[in-house]
Amino acid sequence: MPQFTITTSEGTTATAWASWTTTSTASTTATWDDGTAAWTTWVTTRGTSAATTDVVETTWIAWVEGADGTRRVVARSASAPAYRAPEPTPEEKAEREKARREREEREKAERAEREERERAADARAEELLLAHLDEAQKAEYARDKSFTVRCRKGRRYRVHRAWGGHVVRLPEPDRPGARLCIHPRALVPLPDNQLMAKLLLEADPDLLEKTANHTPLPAGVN
Amino acid sequence: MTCEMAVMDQTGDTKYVWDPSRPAEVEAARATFDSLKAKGYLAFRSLPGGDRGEAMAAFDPNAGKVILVPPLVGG
Repeated sequence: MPQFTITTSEGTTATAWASWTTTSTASTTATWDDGTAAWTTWVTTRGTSAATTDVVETTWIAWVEGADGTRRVVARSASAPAYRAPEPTPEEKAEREKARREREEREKAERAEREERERAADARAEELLLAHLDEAQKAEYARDKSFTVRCRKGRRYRVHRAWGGHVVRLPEPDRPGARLCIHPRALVPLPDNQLMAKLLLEADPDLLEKTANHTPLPAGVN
Repeated sequence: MTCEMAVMDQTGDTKYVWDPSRPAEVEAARATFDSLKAKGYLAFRSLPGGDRGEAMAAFDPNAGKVILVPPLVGG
């Protein structure tokens, strides 16, 4: 007879539902689909005997697919047939497919619109940044979208195109380098983040160093 | 002469322009500048061509070009 086994918290296995009654007082029967009897009632109050209950209720009237997908317990009362979800009509299927296609198209359009806005913002920010770079910095930027800034105190920094950790204080003979993470609270395009770093390094590098989070750089890393 | 204030935001930046010879425009620009500074924005006088930027503590109607950066945090 087919059985379900369960694994207990101690790691032992046991047969499930070994004590369920297989007959019902309400003329309801439950069988596996190979014809063997299964439980029909679910005890809701504690009785004095394993086979005697104070109150019984009919169990679920259909269990759609077992854990392994091969068994199905169907219980039918004398008056209620097994419940099966109705198949959608061809019209319903067509309606659902149409709604799905419309949703996909809408999401695709929204995504394209968002990407276009981001591209435009990035281009605008890059124009502003390039207007504030000298020729040497523009050449560096053209190579790898980063540039070097020398602040008034003589320290050199490399400003990369990134959000966090995009400012690198370059190593000096008496001071190791560090990655500095600083950015606006509000989201701005990456070139704006780079311009912010350049302006602040030139105007008040101590404020940038004080505000940023520092990560020491390993030796030899720029 | 037209002066310009670029406020960094998610579109890149939003520009506010004023004519220093027109008091109403100067006052409108000043109000915007002061309002943003009060929210923690940093202001820099923009010197194009890679010249060093300068921090601005107060609005200058003849500043030429100004860039305002949103409040900063360590990341």
